[in-house]
Amino acid sequence: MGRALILNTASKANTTGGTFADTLTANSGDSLSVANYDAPADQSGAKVTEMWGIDSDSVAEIAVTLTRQQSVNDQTRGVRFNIPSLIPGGAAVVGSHTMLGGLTTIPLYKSDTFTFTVTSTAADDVIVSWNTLYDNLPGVSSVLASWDSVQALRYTSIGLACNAVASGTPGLYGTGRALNADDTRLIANTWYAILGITVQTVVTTVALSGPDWGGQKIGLPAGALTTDSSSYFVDQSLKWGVPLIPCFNSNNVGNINVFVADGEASTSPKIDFLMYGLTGKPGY
Amino acid sequence: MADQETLSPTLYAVHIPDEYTETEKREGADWELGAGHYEFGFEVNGARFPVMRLKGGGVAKKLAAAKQRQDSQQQQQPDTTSPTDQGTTATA
Repeated sequence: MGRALILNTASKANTTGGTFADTLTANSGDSLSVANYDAPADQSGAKVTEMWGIDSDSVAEIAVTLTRQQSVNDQTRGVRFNIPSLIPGGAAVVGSHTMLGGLTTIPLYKSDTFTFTVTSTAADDVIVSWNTLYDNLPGVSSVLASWDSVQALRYTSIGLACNAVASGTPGLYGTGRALNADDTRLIANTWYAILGITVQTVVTTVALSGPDWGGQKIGLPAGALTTDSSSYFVDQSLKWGVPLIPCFNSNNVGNINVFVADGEASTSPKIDFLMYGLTGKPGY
Repeated sequence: MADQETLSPTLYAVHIPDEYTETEKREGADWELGAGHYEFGFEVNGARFPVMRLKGGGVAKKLAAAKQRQDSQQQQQPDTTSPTDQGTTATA
């Protein structure tokens, strides 16, 4: 079954400001559309499991709308999320706030499309990222493992550094940096499980893409209140009760790119990826 | 009860650039450098007590916007100098 966990990001730099006056657009390589999962159109084959975001300078409110009433109540304001962007610490400090947290989800239907409108102050920068879990997405067969499987296959541990930097335009992804560009200690032809990250500076979103996840992005927040992310994917897997720990073969490491997106320009978080080396591919 | 010591702090704000450490340079670091941070805090007798670090990108954006406002205001101010105030008197 082609289970997939996909991260998307939408943003707008230099907002006009006003009550739901600005609309976010998808970042490069990402999409506001729900992918065409393998299930009847009237069945929800996907759901948003996590959503987070930030307004760089001011408090904000974001309205998330979709066209299906089974997803959100209406297309006027849909689900409204407040972002206390200046807590804790103030502007240019916080990185991200959780919007959709705990066990809450938004069910998704194929062919539907997100719209994010935002209430902000003029000249703010707004960014939202969300994880979508697809039960069966044709063309994607992500190597996602359960915690039990990762523990059973655990051979060693490593913290791998990768110094990807956010774009000079707030909200956008910076240039992708190969996972082995700054740290080349992975053992050849070995499977690794990514458990989570630690950073020196909070950022809105850290993402990875690579062949072991069907070329789709996976990712996580690293804001002030979510910066204890060293076991993020383990926690996600346990929380949702399905294998969600991304794994990759080190032979692919040069084709795995790390991306950073933040509410501020050119943020350099300094990322260490906490991983387990495995004795084999999970599920085999 | 011991006497309370009163400190006389000054405020400071410095830009801490994103840069490679010496070890990173020796190891051939080549990643893109970010905007760094601005550190705001108190200084007492040369000892610094950081209170907050703001991302360099965020501070740069606000400073640029403030400068643009100032420039715009200066351009909009009417020219109050009279012609006789300008230049120097011509001498034969």
